[in-house]
Amino acid sequence: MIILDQLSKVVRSDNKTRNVLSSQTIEIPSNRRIALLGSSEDDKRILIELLAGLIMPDAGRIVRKAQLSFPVGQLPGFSKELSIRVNVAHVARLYGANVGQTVKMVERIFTVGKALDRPYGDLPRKMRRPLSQIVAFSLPFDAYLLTDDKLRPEPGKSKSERGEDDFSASCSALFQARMQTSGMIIPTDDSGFAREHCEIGLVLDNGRLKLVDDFSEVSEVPRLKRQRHRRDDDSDD
Amino acid sequence: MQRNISGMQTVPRSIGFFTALRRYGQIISALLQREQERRRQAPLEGILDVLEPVVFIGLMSILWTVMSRRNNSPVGDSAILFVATGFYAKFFWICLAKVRKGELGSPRKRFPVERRLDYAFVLVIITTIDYAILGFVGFGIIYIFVTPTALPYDFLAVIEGMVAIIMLGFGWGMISLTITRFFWPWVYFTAVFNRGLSLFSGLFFLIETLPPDLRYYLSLNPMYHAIALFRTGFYSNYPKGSLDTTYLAFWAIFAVLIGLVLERVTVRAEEE
Repeated sequence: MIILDQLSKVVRSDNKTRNVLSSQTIEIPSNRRIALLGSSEDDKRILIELLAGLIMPDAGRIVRKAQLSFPVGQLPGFSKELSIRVNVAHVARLYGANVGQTVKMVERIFTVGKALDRPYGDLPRKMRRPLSQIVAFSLPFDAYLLTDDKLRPEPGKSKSERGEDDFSASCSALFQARMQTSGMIIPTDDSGFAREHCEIGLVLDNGRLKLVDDFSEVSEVPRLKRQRHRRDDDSDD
Repeated sequence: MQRNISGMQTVPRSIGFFTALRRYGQIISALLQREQERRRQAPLEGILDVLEPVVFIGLMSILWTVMSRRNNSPVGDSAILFVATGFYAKFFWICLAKVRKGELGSPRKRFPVERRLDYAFVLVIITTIDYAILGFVGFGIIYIFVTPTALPYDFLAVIEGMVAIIMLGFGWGMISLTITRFFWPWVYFTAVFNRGLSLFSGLFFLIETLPPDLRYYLSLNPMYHAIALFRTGFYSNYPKGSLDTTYLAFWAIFAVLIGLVLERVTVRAEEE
């Protein structure tokens, strides 16, 4: 369970302030697959970073009665000068996981050969995201905090076009396996994806948070691209 | 459909105070091991911190030997040991009190379980280990080649002095880090201030030999008391007239408390 108690977050940019959350109190189950829906991508990212503990609220508190992941898709604590292997071992130690097992799993799925022993800074940027996903899902958490819903293969692209995504099938399998055993909070603007992969929805709109059991309720949120995912997947096949 | 991935780990279920303590130990240990790995890859960076006192003490030893002042010490039989005990303590404090803004980093450059304070603790542990090794080697060399009094006769006083320096250095480092956050030129002022503060701590002279007024003002500097306490471990006849361990303990605890409070109240500002 993740308890948000009178939580407020204000974002300041260009002398303007915007309420991402205004004094919200809500209990979010940590053992369910939750679609984080909302009109602003930035606000959803900020909520994920708040839940992860990367940033702090302006008021209120977050009680985490579960072990939550770092934002999946980011590797905020990886040192650029150290090798990927050393960084993976570090993050495994940080989260109290078995170091050998974690490194072995990442090595098996992130098939980059000797590049695993090269500095993380040398890894092309496009490879960092999948690495983050593999590292995160290799570690055991009660709930995974995703930064978006792009874990599935990119719609509209054939396998050969995906190029570097050789390991995407293994990563996807790991994601599916974690989906069975852990909770997830997945920001998405696709209600089709939400219906297919998530059990409940968490709607963030105008500083308010609301849990919804029925995805038909979320149609009022702007910018939701209903059914897009299903259509794209059909065309991919 | 239940999928199985071989080697997939599960979340341990035990929750409690000791589990939390063990988890914290794991985080500190992880940060220490990473720092060790960094040092292994770039050994020069680790050496630089301990190189300064070695160079200074070496140069002073050569200079005083050339000037035939090796035995001309305010206390004890060796001027080299007297200067070494002072410089060792001085550079230990400077190293601890250094503003390490870059190393402590912004929250977005850390995993959520890593806190700024954990990094600060790790830096203190590493600096202490470095200086403990330097102390054993450096005073060992002085013991073998210069004077047998380089072996402390009261280890407890040496340790108490080092603990006081650690507390003063850590506290002042955290305070300086906070000031630097709001007034960036402080990083340059504090470098000069730290060296000045330690220079007036009786490195080359005994404060007891100065006029009473000057002695009073210099004894307001807590670093003087820390260095004096450290030196009492080496010299049985070290004059303790101006040494006030209560005053030192007050400043050591005060510095740590203020440092910790400022760290907490400015933790949000670090996000910006």
